[in-house]
Amino acid sequence: MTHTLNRRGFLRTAAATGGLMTLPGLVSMAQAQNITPGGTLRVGLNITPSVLNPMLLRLNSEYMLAEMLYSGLTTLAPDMTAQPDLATEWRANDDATEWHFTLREGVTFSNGAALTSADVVASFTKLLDPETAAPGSRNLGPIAKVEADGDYGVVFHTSAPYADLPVALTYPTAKVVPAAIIESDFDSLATTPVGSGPFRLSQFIADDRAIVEKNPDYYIEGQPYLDSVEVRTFPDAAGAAAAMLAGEIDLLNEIQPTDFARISEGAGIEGLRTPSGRFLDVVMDCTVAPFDNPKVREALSFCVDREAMVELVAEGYGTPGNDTPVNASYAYHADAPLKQYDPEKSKALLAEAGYPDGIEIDLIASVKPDYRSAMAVVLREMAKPGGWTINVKTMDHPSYLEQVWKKGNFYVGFYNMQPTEGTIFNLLFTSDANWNETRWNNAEFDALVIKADATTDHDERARLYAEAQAMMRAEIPALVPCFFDLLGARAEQVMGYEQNPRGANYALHKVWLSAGS
Amino acid sequence: MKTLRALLRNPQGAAGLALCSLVMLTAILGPAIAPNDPEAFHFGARFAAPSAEFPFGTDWYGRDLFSRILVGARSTVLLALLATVIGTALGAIIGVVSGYLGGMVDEAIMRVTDAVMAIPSLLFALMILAALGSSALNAVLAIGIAFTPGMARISRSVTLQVRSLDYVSAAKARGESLRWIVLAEILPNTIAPVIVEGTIRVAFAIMTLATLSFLGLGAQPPAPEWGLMIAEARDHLFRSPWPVVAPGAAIAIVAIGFNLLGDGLRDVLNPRTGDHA
Repeated sequence: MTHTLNRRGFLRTAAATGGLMTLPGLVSMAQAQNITPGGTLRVGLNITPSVLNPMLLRLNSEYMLAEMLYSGLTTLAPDMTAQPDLATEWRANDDATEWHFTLREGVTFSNGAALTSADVVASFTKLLDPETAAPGSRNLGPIAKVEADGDYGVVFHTSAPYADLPVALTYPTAKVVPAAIIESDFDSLATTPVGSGPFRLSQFIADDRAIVEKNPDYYIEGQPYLDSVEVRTFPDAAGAAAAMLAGEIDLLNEIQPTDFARISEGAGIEGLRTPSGRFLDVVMDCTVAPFDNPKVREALSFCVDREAMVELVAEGYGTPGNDTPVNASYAYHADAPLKQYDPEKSKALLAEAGYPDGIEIDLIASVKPDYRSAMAVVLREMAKPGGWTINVKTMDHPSYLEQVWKKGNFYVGFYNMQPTEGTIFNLLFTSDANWNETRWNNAEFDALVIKADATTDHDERARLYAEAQAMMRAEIPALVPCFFDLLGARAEQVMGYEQNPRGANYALHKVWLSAGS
Repeated sequence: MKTLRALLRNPQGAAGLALCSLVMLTAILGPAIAPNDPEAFHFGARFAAPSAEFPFGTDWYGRDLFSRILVGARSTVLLALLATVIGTALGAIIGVVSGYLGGMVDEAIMRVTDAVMAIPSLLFALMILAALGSSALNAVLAIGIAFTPGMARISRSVTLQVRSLDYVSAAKARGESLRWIVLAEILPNTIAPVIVEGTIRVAFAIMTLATLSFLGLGAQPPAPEWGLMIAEARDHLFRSPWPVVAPGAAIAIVAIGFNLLGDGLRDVLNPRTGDHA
């Protein structure tokens, strides 16, 4: 039992630290006076960045590198709002189909060229060109045309009203590069970055390390504080964890829940923990028996002890889910009482649905990340008294992606947080979603999401999204039992680093090393 | 009976026999004597150290490791035995037929087994599982097939000694069929080395089976299969060693037991060392 006590005590401390980290105002106000510029930050990654072309990025590790070398029009703040980057201000027409962005003046690329609206137009045209095959192009919204308005103004026309455009433009691949390079030699960006970001690449060795150095001409006065950042790649999470504990790296962004307590207790290390909208869900195909019957889906939703799930699957580093992909990390989260564990109700509902003897079914879980199968096993155990016999089948990740994902009728999914409610709904749950894996195809829900996308009024959007979330809680196209916190660690001397719940933004230009180091 | 008595006089054999009996008893009675449901969670007792209530401690869900080991013995040990029996039977028949027929047939069969033996048995089992899909029974089949060439080699070499003996010639002279000669005349006389090899192979089968489950290709969670238990417990090693130590020790004991038994049987069944070893 002593283990448990220590761990609980620790959890409280970690939670307190996490709380502080989410109040950026307080922290930066307190420390603003004694920022000490200079020094090298060593960041650990366990996924190798291999793509350098900013429009073709796929991995979080690549996002981090590109964020240091390039700039976008807007950048995503930890509260999921769009903040100025190359664009200093923006405004929309009344029905949110035409957006005007004003560009910052006096910005230069690392090749010396000055940034103008022509570069922004060329970059977005290239990004939206299907031939570029940019991974994020569908996440940018229904952009129909991008035009220059003088040297420092850009107008975006959308084919449908789209209130989230400034936030959508924070997508990690939406970076601005010189028009001249796009026209002459776009492929050279794969090896020679030319951007206006806070740092410039000085060395890149694939599978080992990348070193970036301060951009002396960066457009935010005084930033970046660091002289250089060294990004080191480790083959797996265990290697990165060992390096963090040995003091070989100063910052680690991705830590497994099972390793977090051990690393945070290391000498001179502070654990970083931020609630996020990253979630595991149990996908049910709403067009195939038994899940075509809403009563069966409701029955299963009564078989989840959500708080215990957080403890057992996320090791306590998470928040319970209520069968919608939207949680408190999103702007328009509508709170509702947490669904309670009630296996008797599940039995009764199964009997009503025509399964008086219960249901036996295979639940497929990929082995990556580990907690997918952990959740399957826990669900099996929790659902037993509710009349369910769930047989867990694990599968290696490539086979899962090929055979089960978007095809199976009962499996465990895992998704990152998205910047807006609209993005996550349009990614997974609307009828024309990119990955419509539940085949819920609810026209009413679709209408709500489309209407909210087109609404600029905050209260009205909140009402529409609240209704959409209530609909998901009632009809349960997928179980969302728990959300995972982002877990990381920093060395004590690393200051000003704030975890972004979306998990794809790092803002390393705001980081400095305390003088004592 | 004589063999058994000789085995008991042999220290390795006696120890091996005792360990193996214990393991078989556990495999048969395990689920009946397990104090807890091996899959039931105990929320209040996660990562518990061994105590009176949980003799081997509990894992990260608070599942009783003692009960899991007891219940898991059946799947782990019996499946390993089954895999060995498949490999041994298949290998013995192929080896005896090949050795008895000789000539081109022998050449062909032995070159094929050489080719198969060139692939490490774990890799070979992985290939078979990749083709059949992963489940506990497929893993058994894969290990059985992977063991076959080795057993064929051994039984063939014994057959080569036996085939030229008088009673085989006599059977041939009587005009007996190939099947009779192989099954009734040769096989019983090559059985001793095959049994010895088979016993040692059980230990390998258990370890290969555990390895396959560890790699996620054998038993499926939450089955209390020992290899799978270790694989799942790996993430939690720094918080409590017991979920790894308990199944690890169980695998070690079974492997040692069958190895000792195999050594003992070899001493006892070898006509040159014989009864007065």
